Amino acid sequence: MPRSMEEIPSVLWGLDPVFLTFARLYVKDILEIKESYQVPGIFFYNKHPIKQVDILGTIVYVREKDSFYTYGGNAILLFVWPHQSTSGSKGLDEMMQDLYREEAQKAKMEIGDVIRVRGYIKVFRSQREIVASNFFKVDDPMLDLQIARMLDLPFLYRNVYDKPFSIPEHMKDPSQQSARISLLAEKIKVFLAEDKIQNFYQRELESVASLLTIARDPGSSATGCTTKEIHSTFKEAINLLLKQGIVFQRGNRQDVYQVTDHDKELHKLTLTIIQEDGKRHRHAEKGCNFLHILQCVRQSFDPNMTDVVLRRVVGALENNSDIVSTMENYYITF
Amino acid sequence: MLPAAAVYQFLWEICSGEVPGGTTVRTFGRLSTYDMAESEATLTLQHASAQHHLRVRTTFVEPFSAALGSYYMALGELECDADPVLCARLLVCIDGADLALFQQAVEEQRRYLQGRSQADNGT
Repeated sequence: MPRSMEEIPSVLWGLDPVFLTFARLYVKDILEIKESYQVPGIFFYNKHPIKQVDILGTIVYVREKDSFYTYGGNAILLFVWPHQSTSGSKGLDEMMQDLYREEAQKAKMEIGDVIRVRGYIKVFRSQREIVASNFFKVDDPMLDLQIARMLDLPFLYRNVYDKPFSIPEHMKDPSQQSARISLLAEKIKVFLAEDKIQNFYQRELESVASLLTIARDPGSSATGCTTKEIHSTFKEAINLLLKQGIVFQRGNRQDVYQVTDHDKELHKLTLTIIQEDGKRHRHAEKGCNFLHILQCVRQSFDPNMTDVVLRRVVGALENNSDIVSTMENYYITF
Repeated sequence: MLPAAAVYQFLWEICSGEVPGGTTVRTFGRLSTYDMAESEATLTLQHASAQHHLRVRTTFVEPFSAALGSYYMALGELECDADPVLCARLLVCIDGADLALFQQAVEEQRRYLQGRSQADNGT
């Protein structure tokens, strides 16, 4: 359905500031705007989700004591006055009743009064009405407020309501792409762990069917994803894993990725460093500092060894109870 | 049933016969005569060097304290036989209002709504 496609998903309504404000619409528009098919009671003016409105008008018709008809700038609408009836007030204190009566007197509206109403739109017997959450009589004998409003509305319309709301560009497409990348990274991680892979080339991963389906853009599946796009998606996912320290690159071999968890050499080396250096007098009491270990690993294993990778190795060793932490960042062997 | 929407029309527009009978209008002018027995008043307004008069039937809004020479805002249905008569449902004194600014506001509103309906037709 093309019409339903136009409607912005309700999750994103909050991004539109109009959604949270009391929209000052012409009454004519309130009567004509389209109701949302997702959430009844929400209306759309020019793709802006409208939850609540704010109108100023003259009362031209009063019915029954609990509801009023009011005039907006251009048309009419019904406004229900939540009645402060005395039903059920039997047990109430006499003073309270007096207070209510006085209040009702003050709130009593007559034809010709100018009132300002804030509320939400309700469809009642296929007629729209505004249920007031807040309303008050406006003392405006000089028409100042009404004139101000008449001048305000065109300005507001031109600058806010008539500008269609669109989801910010950075939230639309890249969110899908980045979601796909992080999903792919997650799957690669699982794949590496399950198959106990020690190192791999990117093209090896690209030949794994289960990973490839994730990397493909479902939107452009009709035309077919170019290999270049798939390649870059994999590249991004691997970069993500590099950042997390799950894989690393060693020395000059930039196309081979080592899997941190399965690199026995690195684990062994780290353990040895902690063992050997822990025997030294200097480290005997507290154990080796993490930065000291890192420096040693850089010297003997790989000058580009990163902090996160070694943290992962040390964490794994600690999990295996090969080493223990004496205090924060200090490690010692049993 | 709800009464129809009232559209702002200037007194001179009503007097010139531009506005068809039966429409609901809001207009303003100076109260120049008031005949209590006949329930009829006259609103007068000067526009472009001409004095415009509009008869207003006041049956629905009586009793009201008529201050001759004051400005009034009237809302009601227009009856057109030979001469337009405004059958007022609302008549309020608006002495002290900035009528020039008010006129500007009405024109601004019209301009906006016109522009929008033209844009709608265009698409």
